[in-house]
Amino acid sequence: MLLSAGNLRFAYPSGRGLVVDQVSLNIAAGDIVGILGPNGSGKTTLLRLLAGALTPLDGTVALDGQEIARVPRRDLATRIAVVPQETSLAFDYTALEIVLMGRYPHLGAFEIEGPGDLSAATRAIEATGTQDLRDRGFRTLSGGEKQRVVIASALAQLDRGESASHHASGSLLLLDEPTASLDLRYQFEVASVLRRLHDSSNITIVLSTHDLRFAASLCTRIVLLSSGRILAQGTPADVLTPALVGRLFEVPPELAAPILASAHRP
Amino acid sequence: MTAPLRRGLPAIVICFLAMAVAVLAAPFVGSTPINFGRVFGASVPFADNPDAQIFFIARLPRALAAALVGGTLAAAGVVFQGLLRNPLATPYTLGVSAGASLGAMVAITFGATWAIGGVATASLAGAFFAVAIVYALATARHRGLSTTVLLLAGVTLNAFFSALILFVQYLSDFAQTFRALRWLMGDLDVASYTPILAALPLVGLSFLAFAWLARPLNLLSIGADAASTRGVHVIGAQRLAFFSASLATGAAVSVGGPIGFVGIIVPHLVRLMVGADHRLVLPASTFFGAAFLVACDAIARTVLAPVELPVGIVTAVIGGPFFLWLLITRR
Repeated sequence: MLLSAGNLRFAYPSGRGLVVDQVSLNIAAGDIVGILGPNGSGKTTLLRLLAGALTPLDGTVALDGQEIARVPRRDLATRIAVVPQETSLAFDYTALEIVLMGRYPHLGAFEIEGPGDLSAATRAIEATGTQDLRDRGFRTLSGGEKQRVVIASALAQLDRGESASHHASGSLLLLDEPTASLDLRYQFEVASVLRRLHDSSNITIVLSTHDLRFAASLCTRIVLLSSGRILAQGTPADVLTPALVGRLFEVPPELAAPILASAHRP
Repeated sequence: MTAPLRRGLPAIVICFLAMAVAVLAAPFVGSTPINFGRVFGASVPFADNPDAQIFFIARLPRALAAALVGGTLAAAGVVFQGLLRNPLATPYTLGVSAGASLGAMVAITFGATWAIGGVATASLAGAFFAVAIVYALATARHRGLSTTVLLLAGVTLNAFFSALILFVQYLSDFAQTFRALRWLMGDLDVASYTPILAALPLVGLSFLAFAWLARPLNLLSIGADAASTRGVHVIGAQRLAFFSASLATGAAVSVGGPIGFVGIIVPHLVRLMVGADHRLVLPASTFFGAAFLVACDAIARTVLAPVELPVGIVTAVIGGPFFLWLLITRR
């Protein structure tokens, strides 16, 4: 297993109760895993735990069988990259500067980006179709454009400069609600970028979402998360049933059925 | 494709030249005109050469102090802005200058018979005191530094210390109050090289940290989580930024008093020139801040000559309207 989580439990110091409770899941190389659940079900927290940004109270997250808490920070960053739901900047960086920030774990403390880093950035920019945005101020971009630039930054971060496939299949891209704040057109845009990435480099993708259609159209595996616990996991066909989805979102199954019918890929 | 970093190098060179020109030219400006040839002329012994004495004893230390203080405050401003992810932060936002001022007020009022440098030492002690309180508050409930709590603690401490400063002033006599007021206005009349040399190690130490922090600050400004998942030791970087910028600010204030606006308008102007990358903003702000304060001090010494204005008045008169203009024209 590329990334596996065993019996994860987590609560925020100031919060009430467990946000993630007894979560175990296995992510194989090449999977596109969708963590699906209503608002407040612990999706973002689970994603942060998987990325090593949070330390679980109990349980472990292992990358290639090695506990990520023991993997040096920078090494981990070259394997797992995170795209947050929204990125807001305090200062006017250009899109290219944001992409180059992905090169942080590859550089020494006082090292300046070299030709290798610039070509990694170029590859990431091409993969996300953000060539035209390169020299624009990040804060002037639309929501979908920002999202693609941040994805490019994550790809530059995972780029280990290995021959043909630069994002070797051992890399994980974690996206938190990649389409939550986007309108339909940008949702399609981000989805097609992700699908293209996956098809061309076999990169492993884990994303959280509450969007049934988005999850059904993109993911190879779905994890249903309800109040911090896993309700079900499996292929979209197994998991996205009116009964389960109805339970997940606390709506009657007959309400979930028509949405599911339209969501499944033909 | 060229690295974006290289595009900012000319601006750094320009800022450096501005600083060099300012430091060398400012000593020739003043109420008593001095002659370039006579200052550096070897024919007259130093003891009989008033021009050289004015240059080397009165004005050059002052220009160097202005450069040191201006460069340090500008750089500390950049670091605080990056740490707090807020371009409106100043070196004084987190209470360092309020602590320093309180220390200086106490020294002026209760310890006026102390040796030379007593006020500077007391202000540095006050700064450390404030920093310790703010840090303790910001980390009381979290392992990491909460920038929100940091900001709230700093702002509250600023207000509290201001009240204590007024209280101490209420207890002081007329001469002490006048001295205290002059100190609070910011004054670079150092009259010797000693204060500069005393502050230099502290400032140097801080700048070592700044150099290392430039890249982590870039990543911190896109968010703590984003920085951490890109391999930044977020808590360590935040801690280092907080302490080094506080140390630098404390050292600068101990030399020149709480001179305002340098730490905020200089980084703003520099970002307009070089963009947001801290690896460019930090050195450019340092040089430009130095040039800016040397120029302001030259204005302070000459605009009402022979009366000398405290330099803090000049920076405020220039900086206040400028900052308002920035607020209105930029978001």
